[in-house]
Amino acid sequence: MPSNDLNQVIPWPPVATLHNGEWLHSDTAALLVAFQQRTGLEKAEAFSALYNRYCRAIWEYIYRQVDSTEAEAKDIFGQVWLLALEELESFHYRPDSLADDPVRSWLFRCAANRIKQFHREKHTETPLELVEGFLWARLSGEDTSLYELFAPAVKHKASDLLYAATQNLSPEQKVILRLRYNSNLSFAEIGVYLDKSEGSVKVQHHRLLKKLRILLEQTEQGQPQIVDDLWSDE
Amino acid sequence: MQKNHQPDKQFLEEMGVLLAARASQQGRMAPPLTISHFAEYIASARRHQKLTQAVLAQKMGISEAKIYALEQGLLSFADLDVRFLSKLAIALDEELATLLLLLGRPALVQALQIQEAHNRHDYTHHSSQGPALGQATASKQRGNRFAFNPWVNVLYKGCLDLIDSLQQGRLSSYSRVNFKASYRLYPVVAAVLCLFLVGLGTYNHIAGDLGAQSPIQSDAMMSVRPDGLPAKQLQRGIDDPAAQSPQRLYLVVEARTQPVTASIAGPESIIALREYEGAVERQQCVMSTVRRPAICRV
Repeated sequence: MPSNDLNQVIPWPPVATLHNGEWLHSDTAALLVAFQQRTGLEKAEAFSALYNRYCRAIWEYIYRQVDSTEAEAKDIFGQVWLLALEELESFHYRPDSLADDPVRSWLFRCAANRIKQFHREKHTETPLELVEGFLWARLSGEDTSLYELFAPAVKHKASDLLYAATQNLSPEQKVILRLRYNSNLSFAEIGVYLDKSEGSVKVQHHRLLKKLRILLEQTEQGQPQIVDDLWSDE
Repeated sequence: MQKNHQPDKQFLEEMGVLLAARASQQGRMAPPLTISHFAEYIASARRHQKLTQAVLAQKMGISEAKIYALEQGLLSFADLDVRFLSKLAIALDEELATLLLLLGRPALVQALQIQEAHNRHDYTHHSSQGPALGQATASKQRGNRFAFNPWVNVLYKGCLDLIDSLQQGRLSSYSRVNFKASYRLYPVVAAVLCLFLVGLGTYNHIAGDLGAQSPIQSDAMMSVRPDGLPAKQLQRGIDDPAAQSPQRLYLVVEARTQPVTASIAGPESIIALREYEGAVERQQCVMSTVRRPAICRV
């Protein structure tokens, strides 16, 4: 069953990347086949045509459902389309589907799931122990996929916490923690970066972790953060 | 209150462009771990500064979709050039060196430090300043320390783009998206660029031997004693017969494994860098195995 939008001329949004106007009038199934089977510019154009066809409806749906600022709506919108970019590659278009347009239905279902996830995360506080565990696992170079599975927001929270905690560090100390946490480098590699011996980096990292632990404990107990005092002797 | 749900046309259009570009590379590119971790850091920095993506985009003078792409780890190494990172560092009140290190580009940090040391001494050899001097002054006043030399940016971005393209095997698709009419030209341009860079490197090497002076080389020559040997070399190796000749100096240096000193400042350090030329090369090789190859124009 062809899409309802087929015979509509789509004046909006502005078609920035669509050089071939014929794509706009193509069948959704044909666009999908083009997206899945072609490469390069033609693939990009097919996806652009799909995007132009559905983006406004998806945006309005998300914006209404997310009773929040525009920033969250944009974030969810981006996530939906990035997922679409990956998943439409293997999407099986069934003409006998109950939906008039299976691609449209699938996109709305994706958006609905993302919106649910957003509300769930908004109303659920990620436990600090989980954030801490994630942080230590990451700093020790261990696998963190389980933490992310239990609480998808833990990554952001841990990153924010570490960022805030390391604000008063010297640039070098900050880089040691950051290279360990963000780039997951070994001490030897960090030593090469900073032109220091491996042992020296290891010692400095150990001291930083001890202080970071104290800081996190204080945060857990609701005590005022004494970041300045903690790092003062470094 | 009536909720305004009129879509942000500009955002949707930019997002469309971004997704289309991504679609053309689909299946050939997985975001590198460095980029995704860097994205995490940037997102944390932005949230810490209490900025929205829109405000950050406005501060940097780029599109909001690009900030979104940055935080999702969708930008390639070529997109994260020094000029972009400088703007980002200023907008987020971060150190440019920290951002470069997080992206695995320590050689660029060293180049930055050398360039700073070079600027501090205010030498008169500024013949190779590049095309945009007016812009350079304005950027410098805002704290963009790399913008004063546009040639560095141009070469750097070009090379990274080339490396990215080669690694991901997307030379042809890249050219089709970006240069629709003349997509077959891109490999030729890439080859010419490579030849140019090789030529430039060869020229510098030969010029160094023949005594022709680039600004850095001339700085190094400033402290040469009347007997033709650098002052620092004499202090350290006066009894070493191998150190008596500048030609043989490199042989001695190549045998050492001592890396370049961390803090490079002042003309003495520049000489030290010249002396340890072999070590500089070796260190760059190490860096390229740790992360991506970085370009350090000294």
